[in-house]
Amino acid sequence: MAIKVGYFVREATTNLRRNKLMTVAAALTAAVSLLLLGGVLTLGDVVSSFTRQLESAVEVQVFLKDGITTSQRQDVRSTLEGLSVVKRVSYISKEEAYKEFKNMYKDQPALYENIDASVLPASYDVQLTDPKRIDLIKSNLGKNPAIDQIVDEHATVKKIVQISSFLRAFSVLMVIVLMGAAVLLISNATQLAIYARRREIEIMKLVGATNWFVRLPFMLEGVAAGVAGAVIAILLLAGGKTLARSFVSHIALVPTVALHGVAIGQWIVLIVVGIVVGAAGAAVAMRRFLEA
Amino acid sequence: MIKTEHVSKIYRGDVKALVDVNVDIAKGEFVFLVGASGSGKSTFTKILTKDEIPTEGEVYVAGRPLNRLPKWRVPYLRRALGVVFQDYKLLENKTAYENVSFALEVIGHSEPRVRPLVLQTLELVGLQDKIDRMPHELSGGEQQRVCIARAFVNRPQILIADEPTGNLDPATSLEIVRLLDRINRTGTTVLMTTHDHTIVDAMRRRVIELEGGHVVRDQDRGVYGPRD
Repeated sequence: MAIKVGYFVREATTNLRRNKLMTVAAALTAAVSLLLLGGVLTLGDVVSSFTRQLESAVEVQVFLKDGITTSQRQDVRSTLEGLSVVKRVSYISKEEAYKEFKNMYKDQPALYENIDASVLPASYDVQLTDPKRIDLIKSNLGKNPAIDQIVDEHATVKKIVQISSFLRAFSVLMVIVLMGAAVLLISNATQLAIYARRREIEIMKLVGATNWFVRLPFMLEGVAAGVAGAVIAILLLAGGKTLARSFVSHIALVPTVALHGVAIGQWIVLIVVGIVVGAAGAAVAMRRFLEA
Repeated sequence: MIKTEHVSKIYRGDVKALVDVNVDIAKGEFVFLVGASGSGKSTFTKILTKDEIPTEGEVYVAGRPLNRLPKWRVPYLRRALGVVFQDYKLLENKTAYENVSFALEVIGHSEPRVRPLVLQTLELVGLQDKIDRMPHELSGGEQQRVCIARAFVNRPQILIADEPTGNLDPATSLEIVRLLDRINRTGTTVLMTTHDHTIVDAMRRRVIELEGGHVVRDQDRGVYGPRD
């Protein structure tokens, strides 16, 4: 069969014009669900780069008491190095800690101008081969009189990951629900279009048009609504990222890598999902009509 | 061209629309299918177009065994058939020309092939001067001619006309049947259902009569039957 592109495009645009309102509603629902999907994808990027950054940094900080002797300090170090799960131990002196502190808050000089190195405790930063075995450090050094406290940053990271993965699961659920709504609305719009053209469809089937020939204009219409939704979502997402960037740029801990640049991979995902949602909606509407 | 073997159709419940129908129509025949309302005429034509599936029996149309015809082949069966209805089924928002060309476009014919075929067919049915009229600007007889043109434009092997004169006055009815006769002379098999005595008697063609779903008569060069 000679595929007549012109015919299909003409039919689809006529349909779109005929039930503008339903199509707009369908496209907007698709846009909202795709926007949420884009948000989930971006959030995923942010969280995973955030987590990576935290995990590659210090995992355990062993803070030393002020005024301990060098041999006490050496004792702590050799205990740490004797543990099989410890990968690396590095000593952070009071001066080094102050430098780091200044660096971290270089935007807010008031924070470091009023203190000096003596206030900050010296520490050992410990990296573990298995971050979960923090308990070994606690059991071996917990009662050592030279130690002020052991801070497990890994626990914090874990909590952040837990919360964000819960958030992600919840958003994925929302995305699925909204996708379903988008499919149903597109299906509804297609049904109206089919109803408006039921005589034509009857004649087409009578004279021997194939089911695909009957279907294609309606499929195109659904896909157009889905793609329109995806484009709206992409624009909103780009705007949202710009806004988010200006908010978080001065919060030192949050990496903004995921908010920079054009996420072409994400655009492709959104457009493909838009196409699938549109085609699925149209297909649902047509199943009943073309089976007979 | 059309062959049925022991075809029965029983609708939901126990409504026997057709009972053991055996019919064999050769290529190029002109056949009247007659009988009162509810005798099974419409069911018979619907089985031929595969709008209905017989409860029992074998059906062959244009060389195809319909019982074993997969769903996706049904459109190709319909391309071998032209169907004309009592109520024309024209698209009100399209001109006579567009109604006919639509039938070719939707089976994938390209523009340059469509135009000459449509014009030629509209001339055959005598509407060459009215190709741009909308259906509501045409008389009943003229609308039925458009319907016939649409059914014939693809040059089907079989033309099925289901009560084509049901809504027309006697003089117009005769014109329509003459047109079907002319199409038949091109080699197209024509099956026309009717309960119009005058036409059947005037044409003297093969008559198959249905009564309560049974074939009660199959007669060459027949008349409508005993008047009641």
